[in-house]
Amino acid sequence: MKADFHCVTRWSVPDLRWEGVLARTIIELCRPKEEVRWVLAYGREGYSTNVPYGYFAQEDTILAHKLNGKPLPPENGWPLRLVVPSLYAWKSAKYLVRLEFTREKRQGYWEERGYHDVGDPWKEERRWDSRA
Amino acid sequence: MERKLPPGQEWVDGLIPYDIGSVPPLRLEDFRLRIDGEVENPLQLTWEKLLSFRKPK
Repeated sequence: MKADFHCVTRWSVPDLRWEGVLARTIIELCRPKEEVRWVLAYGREGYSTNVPYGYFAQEDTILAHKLNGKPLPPENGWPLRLVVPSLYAWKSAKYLVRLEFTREKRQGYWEERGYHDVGDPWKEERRWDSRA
Repeated sequence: MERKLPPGQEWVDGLIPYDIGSVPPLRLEDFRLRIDGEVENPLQLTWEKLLSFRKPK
């Protein structure tokens, strides 16, 4: 899966090639209930982030274990990272160890600190408390 | 074709890693991905199981 990657700190990297398991495969396996609206992604270092279910279920969302043909480098989330190319990069949780599907919104690490619950770069959803 | 860049962004060459804290070491044989919450079929996937899924094109 090839995608550009956009960080809320205003940098974007073109054409990253991720390999792994598509979010759609995970959805087929675990069968989220109809009322599910959010996915919380957790990293083993204590990170968390909330992702709207509709974005998680996009066809390019992937649980990546390879980047550009090689195992994920440690600093990019080894061994597994959620990659949601349709959202800002803080939604792409590194060191992924848990996905929790929920009906109610619960905020993750950056969302509790003022960052947007959705985080769509095309709508510049950077923070919920301002447009800056 | 001109590449599409979202508003307020600029291109850079590579990822710039940010972390919120130190990352505990891990052995792949101990790796588990927990999938739970409001799902019909909660899962705990080992590393071996994760790698066994069909590769997306």
